[in-house]
Amino acid sequence: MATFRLRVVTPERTVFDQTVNEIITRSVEGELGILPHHIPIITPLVAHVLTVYLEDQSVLHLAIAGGFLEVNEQGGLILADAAESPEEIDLPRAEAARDRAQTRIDQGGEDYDLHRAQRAMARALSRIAVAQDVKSGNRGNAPLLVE
Amino acid sequence: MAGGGLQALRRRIRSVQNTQQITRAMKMVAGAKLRRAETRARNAHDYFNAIQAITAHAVEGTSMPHPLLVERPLQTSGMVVITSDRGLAGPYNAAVLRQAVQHIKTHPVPDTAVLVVGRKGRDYFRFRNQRLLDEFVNLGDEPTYRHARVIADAIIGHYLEHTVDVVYLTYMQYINAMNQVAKTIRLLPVERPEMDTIGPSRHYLFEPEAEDVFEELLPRYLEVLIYGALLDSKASEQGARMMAMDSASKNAEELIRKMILERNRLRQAMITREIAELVGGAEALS
Repeated sequence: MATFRLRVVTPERTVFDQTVNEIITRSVEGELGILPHHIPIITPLVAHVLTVYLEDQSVLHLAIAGGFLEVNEQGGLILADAAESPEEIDLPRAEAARDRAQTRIDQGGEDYDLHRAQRAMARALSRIAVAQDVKSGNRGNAPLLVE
Repeated sequence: MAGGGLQALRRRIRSVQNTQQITRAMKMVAGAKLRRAETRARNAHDYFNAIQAITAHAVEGTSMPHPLLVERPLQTSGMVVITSDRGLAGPYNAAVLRQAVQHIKTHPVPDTAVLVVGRKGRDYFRFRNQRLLDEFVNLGDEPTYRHARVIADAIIGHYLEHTVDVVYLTYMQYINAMNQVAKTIRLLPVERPEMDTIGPSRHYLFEPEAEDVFEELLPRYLEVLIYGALLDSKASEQGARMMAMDSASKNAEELIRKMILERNRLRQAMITREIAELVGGAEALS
C-alpha cells in the first residue's frame, strides 16, 4: 500500500514524524481525509481529533488545537498550535476548560469573547475525546462548532 | 611604620576577590539559563522553519492583494528591536542597537518609528529622542508565545492603520554560546520568495479560499517569526552574559595574581628593612 510521510510540528517540539497510510483531519471546511498522492493543498485546521492510520495498520489519535495543513509531493505537514497524544492529556484539566468555556458561552457576551469561548470549547472537547478514546476505542470526534 | 601601602593592597585584593566571586556566580547562573534558553530556541526551530516553508509556498505565485502582502510607498518605517532588560551582558545590547541604527541609516525613509523590546533598548532610544510606538519590557527569562502574539498584534495594528509602511526586525541570532550575530529581517509586507529559489512552482489548492488562508496564515507567520526571534535573543543574551562574566572572572584572577605578587614583594621588603635596622642597631651598640 502506498504511504506518505506525516509530520506534526508544534512551537514546543515535533510531535510526530512517521510514514502513514492515511490521515483524517478537520479543516475549517469540514473533515478531510488525506491519502498518498493527494494534490498539494494548504488549509487552516480547527481544533479536532486527528486520526492517523499507521503503516502497521494501527491507529493513532492526536488532539490538535488548530493550525495548518500543508500537503505536497514531499508528504503532509501539520503545523499545530498544540498537539497531544492520549497519554499526554490532563483529562481533569480539559474537563475544567470545557466547563469554563460552557459557562462563558451561556453567559453570552461580546462576539469576540463568544468566538474565543467556542474555540476553547472545541479544543477541550477534542482533548477529552482523545483521552477517553484510550479506554473506549471509539473515534468520537468533537462536534463541529459554528465558527 | 607598619605596612605602608601594604594594608591598602591587602584590602584591594580582598575587594577584587569578592567581585570575582560575584562574576563567577553570575557566569554559572547565565550558563544554567543559557542551557534552558538554548533548548527552547532549538525546539521551536522546526516549527519556525515549517511555517516559513508553508508561507513561502503559499505566497509564491499568488497575486493576492492581501493587505499584509502589498508593498506601499514608504513614508514611515517601523523598526522592531529586541534587547534585554538587564545589562552586564558584554557587547550584547550594544551590538543589536548598533545594527538597528545602522539599518535605519542605510535605508532612508522620511520617518522612522521604533517598537522596542527590553529595557536597554527603550532607554537607548528614549535618550536619543527616537519616536517609540510601543515598548515591551519585563518579558522575563522565558519569553512565551503570548508575548510574541501581543507584539505581533501591535505590529499588525500599526501597519494596517498606516502608522508604518514597512516593518523590520532587528534581533540577535543565536549560533552558539560564543557566537551571535545581530540581524535585521523584513517582517511586513511579507516577503515573496524568488520564484527560482523554490524550484518548479506547484499549484496549491487553498481551502476555503486563498484569501481566508492568508488571513489565518500571515498573522500566525508573524507571531512565529517574533517568537523565534525572542527565543534566539534570549539565548544570545545568556550566552553573551556568560562569556562576559567568564572573562571578567579571568581578568580578576589575573589582577589578583599580580597584586599578590606585589603584596609579597612589599612584605619581603619590609622584613628585609627590619632585619637591616636590627643589624644596624646591634652594630651601633657593639
